[in-house]
Amino acid sequence: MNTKLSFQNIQHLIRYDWKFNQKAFLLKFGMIELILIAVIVLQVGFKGVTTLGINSIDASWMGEHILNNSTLILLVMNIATVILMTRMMHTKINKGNNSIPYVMLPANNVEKVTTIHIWYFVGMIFSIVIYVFNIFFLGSIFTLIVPGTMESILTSIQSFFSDIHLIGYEKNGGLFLWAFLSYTIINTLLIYILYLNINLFFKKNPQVKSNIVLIFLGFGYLWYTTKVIVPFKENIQLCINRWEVIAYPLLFLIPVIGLFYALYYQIREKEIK
Amino acid sequence: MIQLKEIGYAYKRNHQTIKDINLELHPGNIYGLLGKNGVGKSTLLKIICGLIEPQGTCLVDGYTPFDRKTDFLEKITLIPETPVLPDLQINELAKITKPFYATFDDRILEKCLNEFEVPVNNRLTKMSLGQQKKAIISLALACNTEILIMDEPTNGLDIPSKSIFRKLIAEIIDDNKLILISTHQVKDLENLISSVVILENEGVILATSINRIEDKLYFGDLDRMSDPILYKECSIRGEWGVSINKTETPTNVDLEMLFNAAVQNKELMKDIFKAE
Amino acid sequence: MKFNDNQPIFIQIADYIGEMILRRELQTNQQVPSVRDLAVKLEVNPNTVMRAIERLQIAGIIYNKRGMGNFVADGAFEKIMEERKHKLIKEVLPGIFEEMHLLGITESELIRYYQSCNKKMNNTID
Repeated sequence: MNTKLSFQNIQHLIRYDWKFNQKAFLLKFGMIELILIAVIVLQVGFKGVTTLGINSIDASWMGEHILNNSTLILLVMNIATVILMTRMMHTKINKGNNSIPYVMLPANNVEKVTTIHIWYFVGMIFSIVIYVFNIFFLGSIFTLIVPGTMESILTSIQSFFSDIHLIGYEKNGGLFLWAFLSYTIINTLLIYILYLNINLFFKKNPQVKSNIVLIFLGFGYLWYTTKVIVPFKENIQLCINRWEVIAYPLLFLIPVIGLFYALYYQIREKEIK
Repeated sequence: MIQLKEIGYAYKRNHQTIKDINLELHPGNIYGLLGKNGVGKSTLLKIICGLIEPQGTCLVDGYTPFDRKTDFLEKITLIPETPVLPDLQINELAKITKPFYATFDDRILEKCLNEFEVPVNNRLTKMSLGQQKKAIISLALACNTEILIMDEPTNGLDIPSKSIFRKLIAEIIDDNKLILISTHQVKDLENLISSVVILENEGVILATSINRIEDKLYFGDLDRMSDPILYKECSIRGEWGVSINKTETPTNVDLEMLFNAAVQNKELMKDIFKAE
Repeated sequence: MKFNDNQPIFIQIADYIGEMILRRELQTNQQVPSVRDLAVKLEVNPNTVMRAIERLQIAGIIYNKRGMGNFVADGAFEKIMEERKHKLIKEVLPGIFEEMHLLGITESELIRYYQSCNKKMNNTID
């Protein structure tokens, strides 16, 4: 394996990638974000008007709904980002002639794969940032209609963290968050590795077939996380075991390394016919 | 230097696109790569650039292209037949490409863009095909690498642009550079080419310098030709063709006639030009 | 420059430079355009231009000054004049005379055509 790694080269690759794909990425991501916000607004608004009648909506109902929807949206955004990012990455190494400039850029395969990883994580963090932004954005908007919504949201978030505190997870409270995060990341990474392998599996028209599989996996992931993450919070005492807390970050490394090698061999053996 | 030994490639199982290709290319030359449609010219270029893995050995300055090492990639630039274009202005694309090439020269970029009259304020995706091609050619020349590989570079260029292209190539070639141009439009590049490679599916029919061709072959009037006649055609000049040169006088090499002669007399051609 | 099919390019380039000397566009001991400049102007491979230069060097038309370039040699003008005269007499004139013979054009007719043509040329020069 070509082990030479130049951080300068990686910097140059990141800059190249970003400029090359900037417009496409921002446009697509912007569109998804707009659609999602519209969905929440319509959904919450519709539900409020039909279920409760506009006069009986109170701030805590509004806050709860925004939080719940936003969490759902986080997961959807997460998947959308993964799809977007993987499509961009795959254009580089799978889409025939379009890959030529990237493959011929003077940087070795390790550097290129590292860059792809960095983009993947940038995407992850970006979707979390958007999540937080959405909560505050929607909270502020709906506060105008139903005063007190924002406060109710902030209270809910606070109580979530203090729950952790209450259960006596003080020392390891931060680690819980880390465990939660890494759990999310592990799952998305596993989906991506599966996606990569499916791509190789479906030789003919891999892009379309893999996307369909990815969407199914995405829904499966959504279901899985709602089943697991929610009760997870209730079973926090299980996390008090120190070994589990250490295990999660380690478990996180395995898919990362697996992903790295999967991508490395993909890009190394990639023939642009 | 580019060395190809027993090179072959098969896109599909049981169907060899090219086979038994043996070739040695040296710097200081502009090679014209000719061949019939489907004979594997683009395949050969891809092998040299490291885009596909061939059977046999391919070495470029001692590197195996498919390894795609940074040191190798820095030495080579490819202009594919249909370039990939981002939604950027050419100068923006140049800015992000430049850090990868130590040999990059901004002055060459500026000169080429000026001479070609490329609309630098337009995004690449908003230019006409010809302008896009010219922009990408300018960028590739600006990378100033030792090896420059071009696949049908004059396709889509208007007549004045073809002339400018020739001038730029004449200016950029030196003893350290190797330029390999794959083309059907031989008339566009006739006087620039210093060496000809004529390819067929199995092996190379001809790979030699124009000088040597001038010595060994006669191009001209049928009346003055001696047997064997390798190729002839009727035109307003009368009967014109190619035969073996039995005099001391060299004649002008007509690449189109040379190509036809080579394709119609493969074995004889190989025999005439076998290594001395 | 449009090249013809009859001669190798390097010979045509050598003749082109010779023409420049003959027309006094290049004087004795004046520097000849560099190989690269000629290559770019004529849109040919620089090696072809080098071959032309070599041909002219061998014929004593051009000499090379190390590190400085190529220059028109003494007596180049006369040499080119001589060579082109020789070529005209040996290669072009026989063909003309043969054609004249075929068409029955006499010596005196020829002299008349020559004189009127000369007059026209002198008028244009004036």
